[in-house]
Amino acid sequence: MTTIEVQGVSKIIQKQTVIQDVSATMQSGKIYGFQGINGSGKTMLMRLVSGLIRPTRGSIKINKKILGKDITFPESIGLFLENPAFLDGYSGFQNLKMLASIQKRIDNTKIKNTILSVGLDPNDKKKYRKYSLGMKQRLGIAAAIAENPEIVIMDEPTNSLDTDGVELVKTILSEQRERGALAIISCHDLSILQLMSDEILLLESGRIAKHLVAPNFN
Amino acid sequence: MLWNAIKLECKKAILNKLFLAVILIGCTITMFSLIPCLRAFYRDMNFLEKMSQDTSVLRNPMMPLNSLFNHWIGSEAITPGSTDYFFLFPLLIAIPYGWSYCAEQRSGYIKNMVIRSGRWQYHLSKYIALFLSGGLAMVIPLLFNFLTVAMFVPAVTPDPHYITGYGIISSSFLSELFYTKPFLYVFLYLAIDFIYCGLIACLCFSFATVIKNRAVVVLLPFFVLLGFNYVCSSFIYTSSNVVYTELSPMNFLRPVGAYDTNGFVVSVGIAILFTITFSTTVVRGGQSEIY
Amino acid sequence: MKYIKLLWFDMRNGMIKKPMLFIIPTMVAFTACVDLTNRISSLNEFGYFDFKLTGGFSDYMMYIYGGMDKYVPDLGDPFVFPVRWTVVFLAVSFITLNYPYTDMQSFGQQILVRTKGRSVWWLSKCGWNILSSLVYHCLFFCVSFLFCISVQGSFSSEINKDLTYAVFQVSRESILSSDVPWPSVMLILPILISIGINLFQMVLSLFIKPIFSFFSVALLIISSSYLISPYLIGNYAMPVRYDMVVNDGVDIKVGLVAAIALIVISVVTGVIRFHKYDILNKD
Repeated sequence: MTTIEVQGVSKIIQKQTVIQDVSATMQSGKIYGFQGINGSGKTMLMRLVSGLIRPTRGSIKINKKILGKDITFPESIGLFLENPAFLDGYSGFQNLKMLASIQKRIDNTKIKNTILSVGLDPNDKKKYRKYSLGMKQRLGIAAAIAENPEIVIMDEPTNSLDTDGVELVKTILSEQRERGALAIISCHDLSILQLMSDEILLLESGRIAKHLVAPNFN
Repeated sequence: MLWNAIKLECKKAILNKLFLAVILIGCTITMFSLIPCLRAFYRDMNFLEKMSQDTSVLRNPMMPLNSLFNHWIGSEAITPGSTDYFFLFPLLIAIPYGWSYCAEQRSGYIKNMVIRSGRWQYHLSKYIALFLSGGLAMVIPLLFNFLTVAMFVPAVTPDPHYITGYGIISSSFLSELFYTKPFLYVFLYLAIDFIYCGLIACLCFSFATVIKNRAVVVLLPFFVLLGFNYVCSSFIYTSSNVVYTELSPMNFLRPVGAYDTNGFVVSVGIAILFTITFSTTVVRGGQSEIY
Repeated sequence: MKYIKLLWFDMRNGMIKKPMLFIIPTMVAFTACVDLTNRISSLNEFGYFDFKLTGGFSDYMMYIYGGMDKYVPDLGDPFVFPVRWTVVFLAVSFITLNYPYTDMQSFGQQILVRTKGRSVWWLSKCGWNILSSLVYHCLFFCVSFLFCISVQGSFSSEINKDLTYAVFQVSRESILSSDVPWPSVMLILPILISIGINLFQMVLSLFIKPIFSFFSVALLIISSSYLISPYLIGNYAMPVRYDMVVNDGVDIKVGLVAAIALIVISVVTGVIRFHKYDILNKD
């Protein structure tokens, strides 16, 4: 059971408040959708929850442990933020293998299956630099879910994907919920967000303007 | 269309924080030339005054020896300010806008520009803007120093009788002008510095057509000049008994140095730099495909 | 174990894939050796020495790392910076400048969230930086060694004093009249200083843009060559300015302490700073 407690979090970057007094509680087995216009603070909040940046005020607790104090990063997290970033000179499989070798939670078969599950060929020797935008996106999603993390964060996972790809993302998110992971997604396509999310946090100018719970999204 | 693109690029190149930061850094470095030079000037003046008072004889104040034209940063090579400035200038001139093509390619902004202004026009306006920002980043701090020194030290025309105090000898580039029309000499040197630094800044543009990392693109011109200087010092200036012609811009962009340059070297250098930068950017960019 | 793995990643991606780390020292060392051989020939032809001198391994190394004699400002003697020495020290700073920064904004983020610790990630970058600098400087030694074999030079552990004073044009007043030999082990200090400077540059990049941190290092290097001062650490990277080489030189022991202090301070400051550093895509 994973719980994320965001308590009165604010973030100021270069004298600009990008997140303002945000509080929310998130639990495993659910998908949380971050909705908002560009610059509303969705990605920043995701960065805060992932531990990549630190709150200026407030705290984020993951399973009662304060992020940045008791733990540096969430103990089990899969991350897909903005544009996927991998090493140019390696294939998709090699890139995931390198990442997996840090925690050694999964073997090569699992990596290959994950690559397959996002619609890529695990035996493809093509270097990452030669991947199309959609392929890069798929590999980014694979990296986020490969190690069965307790928390999955995906920022605009449907960007650059064809209709098959979008369906794939929906399936993957459902799978994450079924296995009991806590997923946070942001997406500009409101229909996808409403379809997939259990709860939606509507962000406006760095604040939570609305907290909607399924099925009452409208 | 072209004119609008040029205006926009120049605005982006000059009205940015990095340009301002570089000018401030440049001017600060020149202060480390100004202060020692003024200190030396006033020490000499006080010494002469004291001598005249002590001996009750009016001494020759040797004013041509204490002239603006050998106290500004361009004509002295002995203070830390002058040393630092003429070593670091390839970095200073590339920082304001050398990164722009790289960044615009990466962000896709180039597409927005090209469809509005045209391929060739975009590349030409970028080239002009880079040239101007590089030249100005070099010349503004030099001009600042020249004008500041002029507030304290008289602009006495240099006299060949005091040749040992100038470092400009008969074989020096434009030496005749230095002893007859020193303001024109300074202006010409600033113009040469402007052109060279503009073209050196355009090297960033050339590198950006093949390198994607903007820090590397900005720093490479510095290493190209340093490398050329290294080649000259290791393989050309090999004997201490021979007076060589200075080939390295890192040395000849300051009038005073170990060796003197000449008009031919300066012109050929400009031609080479222009050919390389213009052909790899504007000419090639005008035909290239943009992804 | 995690640290070793991270370090191995960094070595693969930040060192092996940087051809310049290998090409530059090889070329500079080779050209410096050729240059010194030519200078020795000229000095021999001129009859500078009482006997026909051949350069040794230590002399080649001294020629590469020597730097320059102290500069005394004089209107008739404009300052000319030590080009070779500057290239040796600034090239490695340039090569090690960008990798940590770009990695932090791309693939490194994935590594970071998996390692669960900021300190170990940063320490891995410090390890990578130190090893890169060591490889870079080792190549100078290797190329000089091979060159020395090819020209059948000597492999004495001592540096030839007369040759050093001649090629670096050390002023008569600076020449130290002492019989104490110069052990070539003193050439280790410039490497330590270089490591310190590179780590300092890496830490500085956490506070200012990498380009400006390189600018600061370049300023430090050029100021050190201009001014002989115990506070300008670049002086300790110039063996020609050591107190066992010239009068009024810098103390080699102080240099050793300064180098180690710079390395330790840079690593510790980096760990503290990186702990609170916001990892954003700034480009």
